[in-house]
Amino acid sequence: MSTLAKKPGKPAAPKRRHLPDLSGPVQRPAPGGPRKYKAEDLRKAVDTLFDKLASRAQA
Amino acid sequence: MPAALRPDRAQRHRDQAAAYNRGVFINCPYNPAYRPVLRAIVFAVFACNLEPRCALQASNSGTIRVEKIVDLIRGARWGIHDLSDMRTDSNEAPHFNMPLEYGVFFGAHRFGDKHQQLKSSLLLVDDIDKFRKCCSNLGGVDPVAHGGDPREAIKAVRDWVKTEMGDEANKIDFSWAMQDRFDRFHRFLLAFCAENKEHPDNLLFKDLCEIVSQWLIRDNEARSAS
Repeated sequence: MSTLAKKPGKPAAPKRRHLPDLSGPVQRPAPGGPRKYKAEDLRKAVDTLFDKLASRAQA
Repeated sequence: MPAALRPDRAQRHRDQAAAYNRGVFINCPYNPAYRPVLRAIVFAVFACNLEPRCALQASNSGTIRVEKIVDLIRGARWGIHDLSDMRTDSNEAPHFNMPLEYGVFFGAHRFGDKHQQLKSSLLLVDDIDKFRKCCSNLGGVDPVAHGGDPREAIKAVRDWVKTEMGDEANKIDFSWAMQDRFDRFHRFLLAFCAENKEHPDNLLFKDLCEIVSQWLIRDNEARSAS
């Protein structure tokens, strides 16, 4: 499940069934548009995944 | 406004000077093929306790682009200029934006006030011999070739800051340590993007900066705890 909340007021992105293929070509041009995420949400999402990976490494 | 509530002018100047001394203007190609090198540069800048700035971060369409770039250059003591993407061997028109922005930065350094004269530049290229032919007037400048390798770009940025920075440079990692740290960060970024259904190349510059800086905070905490 995604740990990152989208900015309020924006329509939720349609759910995808599969993870994107990271080896594939880039689907969008160079990003310079408005931000999709709030900085605070990004920081929280980084913290969550960092803790998750750290505890997985310890186990 | 009561005098007690008025912002301290001297403090404001100190804040501006600190922001200027931390600012790194990144002048590089924005095409998808270059993204891995851009991520490495952003990582190295944050890992050297500096703050990256680039034209991608300001999306105010009401401002003329060149004015925006001039403002970014004015506010940054450091400049990383990657002139590796000046191809003329394809059907695409060559990109002259990077040499133009390097020229503005060079001019500010040369003709600006005492703060602007503190500016320092790192010139990155793909191939040094090719660069010498393209820009023979810059004969006295020593560019660094990264060959499109993010680890080489990290070493170039780290070594440059280490050489140019004053006492604070003692806190900067060895280049191999910073490269290894970047590899760990990159694995994290791939996991982060997979979890949030994003492609790393599609992250906005500001979002990438947020992720890098927060990861470094957490990694520093983990390092001091162990």
